[in-house]
Amino acid sequence: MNIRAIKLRIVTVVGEFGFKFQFGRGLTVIRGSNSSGKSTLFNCLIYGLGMEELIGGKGVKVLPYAAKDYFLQGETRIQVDVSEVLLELENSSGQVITLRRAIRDSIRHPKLVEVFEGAHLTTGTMMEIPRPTYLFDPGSAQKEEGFFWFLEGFMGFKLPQVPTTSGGMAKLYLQTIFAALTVEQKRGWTDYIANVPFFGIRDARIRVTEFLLGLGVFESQAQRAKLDADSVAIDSDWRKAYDTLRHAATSNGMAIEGLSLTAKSAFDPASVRLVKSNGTSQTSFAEHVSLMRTEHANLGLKAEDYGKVSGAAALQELDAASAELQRLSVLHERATTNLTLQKASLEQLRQLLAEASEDLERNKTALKLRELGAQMEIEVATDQCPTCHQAVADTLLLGIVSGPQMDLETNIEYLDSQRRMLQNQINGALEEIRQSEVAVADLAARLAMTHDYRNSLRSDVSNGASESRAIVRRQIQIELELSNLKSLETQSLSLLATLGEVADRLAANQMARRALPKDVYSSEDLSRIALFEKHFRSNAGSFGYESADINDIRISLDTLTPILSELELREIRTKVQTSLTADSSASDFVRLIWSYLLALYQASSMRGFQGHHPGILLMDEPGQHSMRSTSQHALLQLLSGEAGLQSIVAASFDENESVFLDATAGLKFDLIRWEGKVIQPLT
Amino acid sequence: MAEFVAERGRLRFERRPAPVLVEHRPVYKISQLLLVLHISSRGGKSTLPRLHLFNWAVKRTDRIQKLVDAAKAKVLQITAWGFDPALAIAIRFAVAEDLVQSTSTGYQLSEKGRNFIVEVLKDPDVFASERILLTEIGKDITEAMVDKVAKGWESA
Repeated sequence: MNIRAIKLRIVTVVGEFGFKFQFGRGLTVIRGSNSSGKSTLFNCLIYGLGMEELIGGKGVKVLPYAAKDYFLQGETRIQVDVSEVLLELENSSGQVITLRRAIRDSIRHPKLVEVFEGAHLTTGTMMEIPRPTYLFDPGSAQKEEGFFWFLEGFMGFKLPQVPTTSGGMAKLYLQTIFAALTVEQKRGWTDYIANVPFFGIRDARIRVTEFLLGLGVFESQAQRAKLDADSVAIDSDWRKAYDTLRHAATSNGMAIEGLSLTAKSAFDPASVRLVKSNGTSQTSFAEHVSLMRTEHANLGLKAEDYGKVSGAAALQELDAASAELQRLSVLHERATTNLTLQKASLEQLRQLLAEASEDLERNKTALKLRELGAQMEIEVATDQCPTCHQAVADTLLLGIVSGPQMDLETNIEYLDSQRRMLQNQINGALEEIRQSEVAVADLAARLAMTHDYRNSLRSDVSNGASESRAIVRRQIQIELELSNLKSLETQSLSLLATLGEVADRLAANQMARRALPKDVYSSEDLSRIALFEKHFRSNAGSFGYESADINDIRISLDTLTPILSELELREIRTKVQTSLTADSSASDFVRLIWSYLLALYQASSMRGFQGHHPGILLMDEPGQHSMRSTSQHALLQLLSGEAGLQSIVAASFDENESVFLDATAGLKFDLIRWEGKVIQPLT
Repeated sequence: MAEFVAERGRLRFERRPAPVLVEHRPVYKISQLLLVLHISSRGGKSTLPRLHLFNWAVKRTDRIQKLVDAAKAKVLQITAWGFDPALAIAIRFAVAEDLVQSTSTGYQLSEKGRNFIVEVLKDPDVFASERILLTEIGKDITEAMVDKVAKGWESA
């Protein structure tokens, strides 16, 4: 992207004021002395791009009063009635637009940025109907009417989703990218990428570097996030099918065996069994059905013979039914007792868990106290006697309790594993209780059924009817149960098929997870970072960095910033200053920042590299901390030498003509300068 | 088992570290002591029997609840409480650390102790339940109430 021109337009009662400048495609130097309005120009540029969060605020408050309230023209104070910034931009595909943003206006709000097609400032194209876009309000980066959304598209970006500090994902904001393209004077020279506005993006500085270098991490991150979302869906689908199946089985007095509560990738539907349990023994589904069928058939035979059987046989049958009834009621009693016991032990386990959890919390508190105590120089907190400074054990009752004692960390681990063990036991107990409940319910149903059967038998015996009510009743019961079981069977088959599908999805998910790169950076990424490192070192050498041996400086893979023996390079104060003219280490750090920002572009613009650097770099007063003019010259030389980079450097050159000449000697650049104040009558 | 010994020839035992009650960690107990002095004692001062009463009470929820009730009723219905050697040792440490100073009648929170406990209380998770109950008690368990019960011990 290129910034082709800027115009500040101020309407007053005595006419129009402001400024209008064009920028070159390569290096443009803005030369202005300290109070001439250099920063007014620079800040208007940033404001026009909607990027003023980089200079610490939203809206017009980042602009000097001259652009919004009043300015001095000679001795007279002139009130600003209306003011606005116009900016002409060209993107990599040659499209030219003009942005207009109001500063002071009774109608147009500063949050409004109007986009006009065409080069209004340089060629005077007529301003036609603008496309309105808005800034800062929710959606400015997501919605089509948002300015940042527009600018992202104009620059040809597709910004990735990145993790936030709160655990979710958010779009990498355009403003954070601009923090690596724009360095303002006040706080910009304090970090490699300073002034990244806070959007709750985790490690925003690293993400920006990764994006500009075009690293592949975002893809794998997005993939990981997608797999995580899939996992949640898989888990919930599994649970849903599991619950439906359990519910259907329970209402038919059947228990499920061999089905895990949580999704398992290795799942064989054949291993799941539906069983009928009476508290002591179990019969399988098929067995149970065939038993019922046999009973039904036998009853049929009995019914045919009913008229012929003697009273004795009927009495025998009645006795058998009574015996069965008694047996069932014993079983039911036993199962109920068992269930009560299980519930009691569950209660106990829960209490133990609560105690263990509380103990764990207290131990964590103790750990915090220890850390805080050590900070506040309480000696016991570091196991030292406050009186004699000898080592003391971390327990008050040493001498009363013998043997070695756990230290706090081990103790916490110990309690935590105890807690997990209890949690497992509770889960097991819950499963057992569920099974017992099924058994109890089933026994109760059978008990009721047998009870009815016996009563019918009894009345059969007493009234001597030609058709047994007992047999008919029992047959109907069996038929009903068989038809219920049949529908359970079909339902369970389809549910097991669903579970099988879910298991396959889980297996695929786990496989995809394994295929993700283990390290954050792929080998391709690493080679890009190595190239970036090479450029960085070479730049630092050109700029005369001398606080440390450049060959020892590396780009850290953790932070993507320069490190020296595993410490991020900031200001180094180890080297003794040999003479008064030697640079301070502060200016050496600024050299590193130059090297870093420039290397980002250099690496990104390498052929075949396909980084995302838009080829624009704005620097306000790069010659911080009385930087040597030779270093400034080296910077400007490198900037002007980069063919595809538009760089705009605002500097005062110590308000000294010779410094300016030294710094720019023999370089090709466009110069912007003015006499007096930058705000002048517009012609 | 016998075969196992016969096979190996001998058995070796290794003594593993035993878990420690969190209450017996010096810093924990000291902080608890400071908490009582800070929240539930007038002027950060308390006699020893009163400190033991609180120390005994914070060990169990039902006990501290009794103290809450006593604070409301202005009468202490507890006839006796335990004297914990751990607290005695913790007090000695606290005095040596200059977190607590001895006075003629008992102990008093020092400036350093006050700073420490104020710093501790900035983390809302630390002593979460104790803090609520002690605040509820406030400074309403007075020395006189404790004294009255203690007098009963002597006459008995």
